[in-house]
Amino acid sequence: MAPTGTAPASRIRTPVLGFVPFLLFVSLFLLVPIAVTLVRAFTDAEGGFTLEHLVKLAEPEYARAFENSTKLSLLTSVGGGAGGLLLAWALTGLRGGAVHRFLLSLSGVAAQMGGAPLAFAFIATIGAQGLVTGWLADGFGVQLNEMLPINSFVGIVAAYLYFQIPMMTILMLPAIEGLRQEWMQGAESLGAGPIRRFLDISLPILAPSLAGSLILLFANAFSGYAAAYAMAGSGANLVPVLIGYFLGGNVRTDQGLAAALVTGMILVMVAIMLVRSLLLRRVTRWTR
Amino acid sequence: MNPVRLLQFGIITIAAFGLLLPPIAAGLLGFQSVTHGFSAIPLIEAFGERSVLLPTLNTLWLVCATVALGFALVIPTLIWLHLQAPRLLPIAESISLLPYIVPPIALVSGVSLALRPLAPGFFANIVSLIPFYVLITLPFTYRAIDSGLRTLDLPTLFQASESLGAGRLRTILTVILPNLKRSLLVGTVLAATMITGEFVISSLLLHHTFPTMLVELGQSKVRIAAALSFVTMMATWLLMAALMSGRNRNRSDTTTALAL
Repeated sequence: MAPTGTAPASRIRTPVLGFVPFLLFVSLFLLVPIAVTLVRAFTDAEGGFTLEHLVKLAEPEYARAFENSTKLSLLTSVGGGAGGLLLAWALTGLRGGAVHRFLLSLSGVAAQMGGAPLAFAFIATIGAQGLVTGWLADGFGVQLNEMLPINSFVGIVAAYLYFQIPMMTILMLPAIEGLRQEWMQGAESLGAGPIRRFLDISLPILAPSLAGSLILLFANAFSGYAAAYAMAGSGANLVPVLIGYFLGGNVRTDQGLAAALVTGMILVMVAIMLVRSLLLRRVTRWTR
Repeated sequence: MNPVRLLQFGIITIAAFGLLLPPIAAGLLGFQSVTHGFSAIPLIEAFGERSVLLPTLNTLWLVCATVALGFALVIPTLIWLHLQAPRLLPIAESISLLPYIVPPIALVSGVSLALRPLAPGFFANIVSLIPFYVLITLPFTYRAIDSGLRTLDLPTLFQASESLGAGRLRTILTVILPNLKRSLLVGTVLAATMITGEFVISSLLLHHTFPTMLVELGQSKVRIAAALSFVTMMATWLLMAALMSGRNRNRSDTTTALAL
């Protein structure tokens, strides 16, 4: 028989002990760097307190970066959200089939493609030597790369939608598949048409997870760097690209300003996550 | 076919077209060359150059090291918490999600402001990327292992194993880990996908990895960059498809891990 006195399942006196390495790791490599950055944003060259870096954020160049990043995130989260929702709904019609699996794995890949490969795939599609550019030039005489340069804001929006739409699909699919057919049939038997069913049943039930997912998409676009950088270089006036510029040992390296930009970015992310947790609190009411 | 099915079918056709077009375009641009016609020779030749080969090898071993270190951190912590302090699990989970909320660009700013001045020698070495890669993959490895452990009755497994004379380490290695095979697989694939695409941290800490090489290559040899992008996308897709099609009982853990 087992010596029950030393059974490993018995709780020991210092239950926090095994948690310490994990806490230390996250503190050292995540919390400390972020905390130092936040402090640095309020510190001047002599080590005293200052607001000068944060005040600088109001200058047109930097304010415009925040405006561009917000616009990009809003456009691609709302557009990607609508597209992703439609795709998720369409997928419920083919549940379990090979096409369903095919598209689901394809969406999984596309949702992860935020980086350099995405940029080059888009350059190959709508860039100067791109596939679609060639089609349009041969077929209609339209110069797509002049109308829609790959390094333009719209070009970046198009590339971001490529991962935002499938990301939304993957986020929303469980909730949409959870909508019970009985509810729809019940409403139908009471005389509700498809629009009425969507507005009065699906939408209220999906609303919290819909809002939660949209916010994740917003955050996703707001912190994206690699694709925009690979497509437009430092010319993309977005907050992450700007931070990279001021950190990257360029002529204008300015740590205080970089720290202030990071602080602004983290403020936006924290606000977004607060809204998300408030909204998610409501989800549980419906999924039970 | 009724109109609803027709509409769904239409949406799926458009989506498949839109999602497949960029990778196909990358493949066409990447593998077509004036001198060789349609061939992979330029791509293979590119790997003959050290500037392409070395960053790729760097990324490959960084993936292995990150996955190993990540699991070495997460698995013991989670087993401990499940056995000794289950009340701390929600806190640990929130902490594991922090790297998902903090933008990588913010993290790397913090690192160059706070940590690099303390140990410039360490940060000059590419090994210094590993802890940050462990960190950015933490939300995924944590969730994968946690959902795996939740399906096991850990106290009983440990007691049964000990009654047969096994120590804790042996129990973890021969009883727990084999039961976590699927979680380990999901965690590994997601971590590998993230690291092969990670650009911000390695670029701003001035290290040469596959993504930074890809961006550099794109400035002068856009065709090779497109070919490499195509290969990356296809490899990721094969891994994802393998994950999803495997005869898994808890498919939900794959999708939740993907969606987070």
